[in-house]
Amino acid sequence: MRKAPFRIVAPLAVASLCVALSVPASGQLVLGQYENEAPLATWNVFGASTAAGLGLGGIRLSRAWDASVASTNPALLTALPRSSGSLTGAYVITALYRFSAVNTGVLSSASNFSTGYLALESGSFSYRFGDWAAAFTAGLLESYQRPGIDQSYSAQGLVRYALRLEQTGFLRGYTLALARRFGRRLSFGAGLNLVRGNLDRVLVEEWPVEGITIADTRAERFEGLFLNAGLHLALSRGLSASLAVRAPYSKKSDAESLLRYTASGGDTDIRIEAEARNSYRQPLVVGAGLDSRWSEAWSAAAEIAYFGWSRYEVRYFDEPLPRPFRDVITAAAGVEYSLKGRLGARPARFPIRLGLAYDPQPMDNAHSSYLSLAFGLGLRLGSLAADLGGRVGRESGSGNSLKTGRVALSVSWFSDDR
Amino acid sequence: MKRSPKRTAVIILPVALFLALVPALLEAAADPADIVSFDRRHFESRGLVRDGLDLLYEKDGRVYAVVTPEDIASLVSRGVAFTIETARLAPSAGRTASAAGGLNGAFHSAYELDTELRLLADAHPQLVRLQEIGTSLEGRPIQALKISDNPGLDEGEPAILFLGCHHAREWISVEIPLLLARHLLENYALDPEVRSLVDRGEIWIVPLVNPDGLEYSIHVYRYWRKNRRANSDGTFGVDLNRNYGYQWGYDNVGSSPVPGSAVYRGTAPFSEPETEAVRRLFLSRDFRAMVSFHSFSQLILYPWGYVDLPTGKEAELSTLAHTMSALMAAVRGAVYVPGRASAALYTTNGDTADWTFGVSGVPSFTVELPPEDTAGGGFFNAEAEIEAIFRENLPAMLYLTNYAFLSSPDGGIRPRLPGTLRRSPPRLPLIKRIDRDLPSAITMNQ
Ligand SMILES: [Zn+2]
Repeated sequence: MRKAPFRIVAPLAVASLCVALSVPASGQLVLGQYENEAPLATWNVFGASTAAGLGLGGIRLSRAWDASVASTNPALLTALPRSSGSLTGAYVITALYRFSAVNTGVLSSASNFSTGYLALESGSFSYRFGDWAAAFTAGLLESYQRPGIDQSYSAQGLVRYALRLEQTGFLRGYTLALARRFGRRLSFGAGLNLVRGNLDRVLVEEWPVEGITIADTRAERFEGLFLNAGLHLALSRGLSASLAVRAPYSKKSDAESLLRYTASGGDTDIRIEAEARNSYRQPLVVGAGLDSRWSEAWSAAAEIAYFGWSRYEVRYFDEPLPRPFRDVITAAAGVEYSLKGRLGARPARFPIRLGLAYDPQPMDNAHSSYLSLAFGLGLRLGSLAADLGGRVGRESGSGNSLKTGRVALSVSWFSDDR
Repeated sequence: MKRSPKRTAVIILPVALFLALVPALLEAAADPADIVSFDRRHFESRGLVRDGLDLLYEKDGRVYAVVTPEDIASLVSRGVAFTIETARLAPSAGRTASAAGGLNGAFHSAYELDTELRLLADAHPQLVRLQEIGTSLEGRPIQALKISDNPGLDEGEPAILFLGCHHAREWISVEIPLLLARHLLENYALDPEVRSLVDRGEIWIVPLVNPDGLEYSIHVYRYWRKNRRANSDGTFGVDLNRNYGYQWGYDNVGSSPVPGSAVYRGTAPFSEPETEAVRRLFLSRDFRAMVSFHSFSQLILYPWGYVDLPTGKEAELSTLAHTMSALMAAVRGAVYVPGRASAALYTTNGDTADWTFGVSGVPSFTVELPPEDTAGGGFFNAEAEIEAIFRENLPAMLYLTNYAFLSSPDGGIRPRLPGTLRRSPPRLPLIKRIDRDLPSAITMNQ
């Protein structure tokens, strides 16, 4: 993941310039969507996403797009050609209003911030041998990046005060999956998942005239291991159903913290250092979907996924953090029309996709949810496929009309024509 | 710091060993209440939930509980490997395990304080009662310790109140009243002076008036001051030390009507649940004195704060403040400057001491703890300084407690200075400020 070069810092007003704009929530230590450990754009992350699935609103467990389905529903691997490989890149941009010290009392802004990233999100390959199939997927699952804040106050040509707030981080997932077909209709698959990542946060204040600096630095290195599994059942020639599960697991981190006050005048250097083993208990995810093909050209898919966030637990530097969360159910659905045509001399297909997604966030104190519209275009040319998908969402519930957007491009190779 | 080696009794049980081990274990756990820890997984898998153990807290995957000998026998019979932690955790001269580590180091978070108060209350049931006097805006308990010889009885004894941490970033102000509580409880049996005070009156200690603010200060922004009220204009926080009802909002100098201000007084006197909790407690008992701890500057301030005029008890308050200052200086030379709060550069209205004095006339003080200035750390204190700061405050607090318990409500008996005071009171500079803010003109909107 590259740190976004286009990081946008919306106009900030310090202190007295605060603008009365927000709709404050009741419990203020609970920031809502953007707790420090919150993934950018949505809490509801389930496996790697593909550009084709994105075009249908976010179909991830009911259609065998490519080998990255190992991280959502590995049963689908048996529906892929003998061998396949794919790469997905994405550009994500998201609006935030309230996070860390921003719009929680210290720094105020009149408008939302945006931040985003451009990244090679996932790479995967699969191989099928008879009724069995295996796959490996590596993907960027979560980003913890926040808009950077760099504020200073000057008087009479001297910087009197400066504040810098930075947070970066990501979580990568690696899935090794195995699937088997049982008869003509039923497939089952299971995957072993490893996640690794980091979260680094620093808040520095300086009073240069007095020679005083306060620095609050924290770093976490994540790791976690969990299982996922799925079923795929062909109900009829044009209709199939899928069921997928991600087991709950603890995302652990080795964490370090240093809180430091230095004043050069008094040779004062006060440090509070800590190390801890943090844990974030990730919820059970259960997804179900239907995939329907009406004709050679028309098809549709729909999914729901349950995220058991009410059991989300965080232990942070040896203390439980309050996270009043509720379970949520996300939904996505889309239709695809596949145009037949030629590219040069070769026959090709051009899928066109349209989708919708509903993505409620788990915070109990503000029932915030995103409603998104998705579109997609594809190309199937022999053993190659390329897909472009985009999705734009608008949030309601927080009072800040947060927006989010994602554009993804996938390129896949299959060992034979599909 | 004194840490005796922990007595470890790790038992993994073949049934045959069971009977042989039980007597030895019961002996090892002979104290009526021991603290043990065991793996959290045992807590869930071996039915310990149903046992109704007196659970204290969980740390590093281990559950800590207060157990009786019967509980220990029960743990043994279930094959639970446990460690006796009493010696390691018992409150003693050092910092306790419940506050060790974490983002705030040896200082207590709201969670750590709750744990520590329960430990103290469990360890000294004959001397202390833990009482929740209110709930913060975000739902955290505001806890008070009542320390007295028969804490469960209402004996109508005179009382004194020690308050800590109205202002979130003043972490040291939690520690001093908490250490005072520990000192009283641990030295009751050893120290006749402590015993006399605890027997004669009620010592009420509320170490953390502003738990929500403290948590924000630990987790988000170190220099947060107010509580976490979501104000109507999108700003946050009411200055709890401007929200009390005596001459509340007297002028816009000693407090501010602007919600974004660091000294925002709130929409009404006692509009905040945190100050309301203190109000209810104070009016419910026969309090004869009050100390509210703050930092920094090393000051001992007494009413009035809202206007630069002496109270009708100026002489008494001044004498008390000077005496306490002298007692503090006698410990290691740190000068806490005594003075009338309003004699500083600016006045304060709606603060705790004006209200307790205003409604009851009892000696009321704001003690601004070290350091003296921003060069010395501002709202930061080194972890290693906590104990020393407590030690230099202790004689003054004991002196004031004794004074309060001797005095009748209308002011009668005057105790003599304790014999430990050998120095003459130091010469004192003028008070420069109260509860100073950020060291420049800028204040973030808090
Ligand atoms: Zn204060």
